[in-house]
Amino acid sequence: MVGAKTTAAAISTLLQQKRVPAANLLPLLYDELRALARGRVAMLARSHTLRATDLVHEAWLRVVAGGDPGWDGRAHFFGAAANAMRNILVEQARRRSTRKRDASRKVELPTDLPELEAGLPYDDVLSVHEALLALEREHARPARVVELRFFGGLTMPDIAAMLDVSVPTVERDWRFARAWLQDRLGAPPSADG
Amino acid sequence: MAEAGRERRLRELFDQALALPAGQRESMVAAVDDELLAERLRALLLQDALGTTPALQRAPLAGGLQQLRRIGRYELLRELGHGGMGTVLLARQVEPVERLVALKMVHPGTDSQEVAQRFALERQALALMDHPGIARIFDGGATDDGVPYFVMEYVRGEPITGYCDRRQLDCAARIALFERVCDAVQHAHQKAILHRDLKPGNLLVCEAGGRPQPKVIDFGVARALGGGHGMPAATQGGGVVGTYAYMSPEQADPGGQDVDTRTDVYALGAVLYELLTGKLPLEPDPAAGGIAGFQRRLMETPPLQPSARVAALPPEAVLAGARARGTTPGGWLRQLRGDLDWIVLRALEKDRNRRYASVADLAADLVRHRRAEPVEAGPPSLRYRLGKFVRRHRAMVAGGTLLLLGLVAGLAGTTWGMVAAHAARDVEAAARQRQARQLDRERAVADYFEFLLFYGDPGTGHGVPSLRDVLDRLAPTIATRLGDQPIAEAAVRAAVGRAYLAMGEAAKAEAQLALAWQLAAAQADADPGVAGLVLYDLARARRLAGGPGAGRGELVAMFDLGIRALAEQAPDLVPALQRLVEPLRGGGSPWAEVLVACDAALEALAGKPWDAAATRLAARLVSAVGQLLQDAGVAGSEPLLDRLEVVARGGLGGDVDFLLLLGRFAERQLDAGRWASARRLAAEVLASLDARGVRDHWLVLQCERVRGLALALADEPAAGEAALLALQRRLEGLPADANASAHAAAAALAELCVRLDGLGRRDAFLAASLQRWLEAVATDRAPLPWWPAALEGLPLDAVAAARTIVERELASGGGRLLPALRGALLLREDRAEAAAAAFEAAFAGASEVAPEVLAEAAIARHRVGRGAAAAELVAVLRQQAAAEDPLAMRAKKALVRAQAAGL
Repeated sequence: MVGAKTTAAAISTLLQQKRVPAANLLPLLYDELRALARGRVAMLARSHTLRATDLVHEAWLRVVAGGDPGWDGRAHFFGAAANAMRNILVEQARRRSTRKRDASRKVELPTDLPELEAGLPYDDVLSVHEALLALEREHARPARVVELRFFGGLTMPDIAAMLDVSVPTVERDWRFARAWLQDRLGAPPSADG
Repeated sequence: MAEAGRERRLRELFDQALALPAGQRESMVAAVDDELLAERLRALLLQDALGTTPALQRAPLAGGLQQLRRIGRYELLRELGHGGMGTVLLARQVEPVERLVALKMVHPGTDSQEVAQRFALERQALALMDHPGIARIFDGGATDDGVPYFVMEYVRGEPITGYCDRRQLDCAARIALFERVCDAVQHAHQKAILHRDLKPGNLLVCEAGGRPQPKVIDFGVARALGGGHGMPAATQGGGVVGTYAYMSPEQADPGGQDVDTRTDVYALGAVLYELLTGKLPLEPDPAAGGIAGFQRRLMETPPLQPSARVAALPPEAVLAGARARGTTPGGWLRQLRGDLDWIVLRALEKDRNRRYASVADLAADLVRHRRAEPVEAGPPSLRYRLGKFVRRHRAMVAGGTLLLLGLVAGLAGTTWGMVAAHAARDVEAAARQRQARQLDRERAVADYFEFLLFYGDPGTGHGVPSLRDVLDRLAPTIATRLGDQPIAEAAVRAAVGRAYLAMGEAAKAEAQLALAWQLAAAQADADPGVAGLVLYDLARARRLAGGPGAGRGELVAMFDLGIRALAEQAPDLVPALQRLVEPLRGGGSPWAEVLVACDAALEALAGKPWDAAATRLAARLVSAVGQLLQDAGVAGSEPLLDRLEVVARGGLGGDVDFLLLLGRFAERQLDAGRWASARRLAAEVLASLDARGVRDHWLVLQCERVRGLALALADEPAAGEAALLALQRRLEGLPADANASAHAAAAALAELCVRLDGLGRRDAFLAASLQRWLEAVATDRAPLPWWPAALEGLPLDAVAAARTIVERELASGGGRLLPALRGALLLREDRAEAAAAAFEAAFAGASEVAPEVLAEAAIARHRVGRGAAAAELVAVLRQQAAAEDPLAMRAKKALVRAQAAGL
């Protein structure tokens, strides 16, 4: 945990600076979140899962303990954390599907993370991720809204402030992105099915 | 259009659409010139409407077809739906034209021989058909993996039910659309193809050139008729295919009965039912035994008439449904009632031999309905409908059966009407007209009463509302519901009036019957029979409401109508009837003349065949006069009434008038001290009522009372008392306001106690009976004449209790009989001073004083030593008793009582 504390402090320091390159922040956040999740393994009852967005918020509390980085810092943190969390979940999902595929060969892959609850079925994390990649190509901002909301656990007003647009705009983005993704992910249950 | 540009526009249009109210979005989307873009937009809006969870959580095609992005020249866009056999995908054809198509393929991995055959069959069936209402087939083939598919017209529509609701189409527009569906299905039938799975999901409506175009899709379980085209029957395996809710009984029969075009007729009937009512003919009920249970119900349970189904909906659902049809709840019911009820039920007959033989026949009847021509479906007979109705509402109807019998008796008006029809010059035409009118009347009355009882009263929490509640609630709605149909309104008002009359609600009965007469009078020339019946009942109501002398005018008018109806059919009866009515035209008491004329009329009737309508009509007229004589207590009328009883028995058959008359005769025999015949008559009426399942009607109570009293008084006190105790228990089971006559009957128990005094077996139930009766008196619902004798036998504590009630009622206004009753109670308590004062107060406001009250007041005056004043009252009584006045009989009895008290 000492290492984790150090990472949090490093993030905090980075956030105090005016313009933080995301490239600098992301690896730190990635480590921080993974470390946090690992730290929870022992504490979790078997049946419990850790909510990904809770983990992000917990990381934020640890960063703030090293000094409030102010609004800009907060925006940077969550922007990067959401992205990091998405990567972690995708990584985890890939691992799981590999494990399933290899189950017949009895290959035991090491698990260093507890299962994270992503707010959607595990198997769908990958397809959502892929659909989100496609959405990013066509509609960058709505895709970002989804990421912040889905993986960062941010509220609409937070997202609006972060993207510097109005709340209604974020809401429209969200509705559009949701419809777009759902349409891509599959048809609705058919009327006569 | 470039893909990126399309995406940008998609976003703009999406935001624009969301800014619009939901109802306007579709027209906005329809205005988008780029069809592919419009399709994308529609898909997104649908997803938006679905909300977050369902699709983001599940991607049904993710592992299957999604990998398959292209088949031949077709780029797969998304799944449109999937059924048991295959999946329908939206696809984009790029060459030779860019357009959207529906591509149907067998589920990958399904390689059942049967499925493949059926699939090929559908393709072949579609290729045979060429109709704008049937989705066209463009192309077909197999994927690289050998999965067969075919490409057909993409119908961008929505199920016909949703389409109609969203557009708020009224019933006429729905039917117009439905007729075009019929046309398409008929086309398929002509090509010898059955659809076998018709349901809203397969009947899509799209807009073409701004006009709706229904399209029949998914001939997936279609089957060739007669095995032509070299096609094997698709369901030879015996599997039950199709959709249960719209499936015909023969199709759902696991026995695997053959199906034919009438199977599609049934399914279309079910769709029409849903279009018109918003409900399925039989709602699947998971609690009722799953699919097997539903199959059983499908074979056994007949659906409610559409109008009845709507009437049975909860009020808010009726409102919403009416709004979705651009009408009011009343308007909705009116549109369904009659033709549409019959047409739909005809299509949904369990036995296909009773259905329309073809879809074309069904459509033809809808056209007839639209043109207001008589439909082929036609109504089931009234008797059949009433029969079913009674079965459905057994408990409710128990008390109201007489009323319903009354309706049926109203049909006796047919015979009366028929007599008049023969008198008309153009007999045939008149008969036809009359028949049509009669049919209208029957429909109106039957439907109205169904409505009435369905809407009975869900609100009181009693479960089954009393008939009185129902009538009170609905009588005010007659004008709004039937105001534009005078014949029907007259019939319904007359029936309601008769029902009130049966309850002893004289004022309400009179109001309804007077309105009925106003309407019937206008048709009296055409239908003297019907108008005459209305008058007959109006006369009865006026007599009940206004006392002696009232209603005589109506009776006379009724005679005139009846005589007119008889003029041709039975001219020999006319002079006697004219002589009978003449004396009644003036005022006064022409009873002597009436007696003579009545005698002559009975002579004329003697020996006439009773099965002739004319004889029955004449008998009814004569017995009406007989009742008048009986009411008036005319001296010397006894032998005549005996003869009338015989006439009534023969002339009126088993109808309600006959039973009422016999009930009255039973009373008469009781009053005359002829216990045996009173008993016999009462028993006869009771048996007749019992045979009709009538248990709680006032006439039952009245006759049981007569029988009990007659028994008790004829040296069978134990049997009589037992009968009356049983009656009392019955009365206690009735709601407090069941009806006035019931209270009168309760009061009769007090009378019995007096008569049984010698037996020393008065019981505690007496006080309870009295209380009921007092409550009835307090609201002017119980007749007065019972009370002097009743009070005589009461224990003093019961008297005191009764007076407490009376004082309380008086303090709050009370009825007109209460002041006198208070006097009588005081007298019974031996407080003669107070009693005399109470009677003076009672006289103060009264224009006419009942003989019973006069006698009591005289006794009170006598007891306080005011002999002269008492004698004055006795003199008035003597006058009343001497006059040939309806009051005479009562006055004589009262006089006897006064004399017994020493006056």
